[in-house]
Amino acid sequence: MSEKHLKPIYWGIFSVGGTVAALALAPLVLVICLLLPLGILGNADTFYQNVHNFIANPLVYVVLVGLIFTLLWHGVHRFYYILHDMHIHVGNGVRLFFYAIAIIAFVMCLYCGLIK
Amino acid sequence: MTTTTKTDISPTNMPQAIDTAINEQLATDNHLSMQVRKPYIKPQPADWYQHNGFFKRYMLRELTAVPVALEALNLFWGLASLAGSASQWQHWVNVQSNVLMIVFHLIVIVAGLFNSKTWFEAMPKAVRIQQGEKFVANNVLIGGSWATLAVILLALCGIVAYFS
Repeated sequence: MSEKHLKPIYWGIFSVGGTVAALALAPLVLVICLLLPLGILGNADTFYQNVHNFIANPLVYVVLVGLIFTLLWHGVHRFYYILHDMHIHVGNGVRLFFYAIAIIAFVMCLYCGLIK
Repeated sequence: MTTTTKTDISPTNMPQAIDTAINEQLATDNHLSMQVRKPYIKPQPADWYQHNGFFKRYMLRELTAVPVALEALNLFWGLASLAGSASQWQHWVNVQSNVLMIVFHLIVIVAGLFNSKTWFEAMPKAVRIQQGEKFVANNVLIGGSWATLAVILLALCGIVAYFS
């Protein structure tokens, strides 16, 4: 399959990631990464005991990892085009390397959560 | 004659690339070596976005992608910890309480909200919803997006409060 035919996939995941980031990133970071760990809202230990089994369910886990994957893909894809806008032409190899980072992180996260 | 590789083709040098290809073809067809076309290509300095507020905001908007990508890695780690052992989750929680991480999270929230604002404002240009003979007004779509964000925030607060 040629480069041209893969374009809708690159840009499709990018736009899903951008939409997920626009709708959910700020709330998610505020609640899960700030309020919960700092003890301002809820208790991290009790939270773990109550939701661990639900999150560890393979179906739920795969969906959540997939959503975060779109965020990461969105980030690296857009970063490549920032470099382009700044007249830093890194080439197609570096672009594919960025995508590879996102895919490797995705697979590693799936592996860590599903195979214990 | 310059050779053009695939990676050299970008909007800035696309006309040049096309021109080179046409000239090469004409030269082989007619045994000519002279340049046939000489289109004007407007030069663009590398700091083109630094002299205009609109372009600066554009660049800032695109740069929100960097904190988003880094936070995605942290979220991957947090999610794997939550699905992992209690000590793994405890370790992740402790790292989040680090001062540098708190500063990073605040940057991500600001960048994320800036991305939300620009993404929602661009959305009505891509998504046109027709009702009868009219399209749903832009501000309804933008307002609906912000309302969705608020619902997600309240839902997350509710989930965390309920389960802990």
